[in-house]
Amino acid sequence: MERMDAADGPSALRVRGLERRYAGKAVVRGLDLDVKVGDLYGFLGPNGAGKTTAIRCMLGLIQKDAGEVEILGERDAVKQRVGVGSMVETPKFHEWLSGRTNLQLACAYAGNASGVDEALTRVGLAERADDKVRGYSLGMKQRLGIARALVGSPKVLILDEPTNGLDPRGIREIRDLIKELVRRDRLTVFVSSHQLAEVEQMCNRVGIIDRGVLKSEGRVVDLLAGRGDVTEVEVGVSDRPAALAVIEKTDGRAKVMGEGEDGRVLVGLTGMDVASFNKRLVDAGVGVTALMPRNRSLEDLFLEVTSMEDDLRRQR
Amino acid sequence: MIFGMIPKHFPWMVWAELRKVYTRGSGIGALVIAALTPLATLGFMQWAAHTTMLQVGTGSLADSLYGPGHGLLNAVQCAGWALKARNFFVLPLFLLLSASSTVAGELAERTLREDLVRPIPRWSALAARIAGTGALAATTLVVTAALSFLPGLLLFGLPVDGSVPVDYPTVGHLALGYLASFASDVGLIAITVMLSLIVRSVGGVVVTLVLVLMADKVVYWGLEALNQAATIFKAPSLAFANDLVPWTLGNALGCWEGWQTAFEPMRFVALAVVTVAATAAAMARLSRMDVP
Repeated sequence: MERMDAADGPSALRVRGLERRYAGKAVVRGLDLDVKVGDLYGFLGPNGAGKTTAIRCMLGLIQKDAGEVEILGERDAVKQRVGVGSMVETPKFHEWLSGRTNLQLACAYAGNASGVDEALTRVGLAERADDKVRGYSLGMKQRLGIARALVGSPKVLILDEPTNGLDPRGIREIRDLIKELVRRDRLTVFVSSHQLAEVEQMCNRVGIIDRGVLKSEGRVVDLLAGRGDVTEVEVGVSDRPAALAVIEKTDGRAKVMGEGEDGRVLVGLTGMDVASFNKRLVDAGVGVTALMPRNRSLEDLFLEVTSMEDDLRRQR
Repeated sequence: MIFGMIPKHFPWMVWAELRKVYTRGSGIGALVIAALTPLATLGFMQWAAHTTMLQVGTGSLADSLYGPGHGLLNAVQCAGWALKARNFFVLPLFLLLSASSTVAGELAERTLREDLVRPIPRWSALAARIAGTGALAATTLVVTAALSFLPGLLLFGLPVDGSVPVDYPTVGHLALGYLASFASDVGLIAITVMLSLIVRSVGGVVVTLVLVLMADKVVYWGLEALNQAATIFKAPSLAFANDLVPWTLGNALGCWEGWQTAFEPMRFVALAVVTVAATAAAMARLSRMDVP
């Protein structure tokens, strides 16, 4: 994946303290998000976690009980939608009209009449553009939904489950399209998805929400390398006691976390990068046979993060 | 302040609504009914003018309908009857279906939300829908007027002085009748849009509006009864009933009926109040409601 590190850039989408209740029950609780310009941000969460509710609040489709949403620095609900294209769940169309006409209607409301043909071409629907939507397959409707999100020249795309109901080929097509929109068109894309592997391949940053609360947010590479400031590495050494002595002399910046594979030591690094740790071992005359940042999958992280509350509840 | 918030692209929004309204089944149906109604009316008038099958009293049906010498058989009469036929149940039902499809139907089908995620204030999406359906109503009136008046002109000509009463309505009166009918249609559309945001289904809106109009009729009969009682029992305290009659919904929507004789200004005032109140209530409701 192309590196898309925008962690320190300006915010494209900033959410602070977002809350939404249904019948007194909080569905989204104090949600804070920070999506930087150029991010391809994955918004993850189990069913009923509050993803779609949060997205609807961001788009102003449903009222929020508290909190602020800022898009491209704009807080006014109407003005901030000038730069936003969106697709919420399964896109809906006027089925008796053609795909092209549906996009023209969207353009009329967006206040930008251009871009219909380009959007249709981008999603590969140019040849079927004049067919009635009722004849489209689910995959074609999803692609038309993305095309509709693209009209009006948005800078930020908010896509809710864009691959819902698609076959593997369709999923891949949409994934490639989204990646291209970020890479080629320099769009910021906020995408919610259940497809963890897909998000891992596609996104540079993710936020994980569970029961309406943001549990984890950060760069995918950081989150998978370790939790918080701790980077977990598996170290294979020629002299284990000498290596442990080196670790003891790091003032707690390196700690033995457990046993790794094939007799390797699992070390947690805090405030020290892997290269510095390696140098210390080598300088102490310890032969380093392996030094591997421990790669967790997004699925591991997701399950770990979203089951925390269950664990706490069980403990109580 | 409010007008300052109208999106610059509002005319394009109306254009988008027109494309939807004129291609929906309800819109096409309304146009077909608007075209068939005057043709059927003309056919009936022609038949009535020449039939010898029916007698009314001692004269023919034509004498009864068009007066001795058939002086009342003219283009104004044709277009007037066509207007009555047009406003009798079927075409208003299609307008009701069209208006509710643009709001309740789109809420249910979740296409309305696709408009609301665009950079527009929510009320403007409703205004565009009311304008689109209002344009459909205007088109049906033009179609009905054209297809009744022009053939009537060719077949029967204009009213001729001497053959019609002195106070017989002119083409100007007829035009005002059609304009009043348009105002009535806009009122019906505004009420339908307001109900659409409460009921949220096309069928529900139709049923609710029918029930509302039935209840309104009961109120109307009650006021009429009080009015009669005021006269019979010489009870001035009941005279208020007469003042309230124009304010019933059916009376307000039927303001166009006075085109032949004289319009009742209070019915227009009532219609304006109902239209503005329904539109404002609908816009206020949409601005705060969840559109998931």
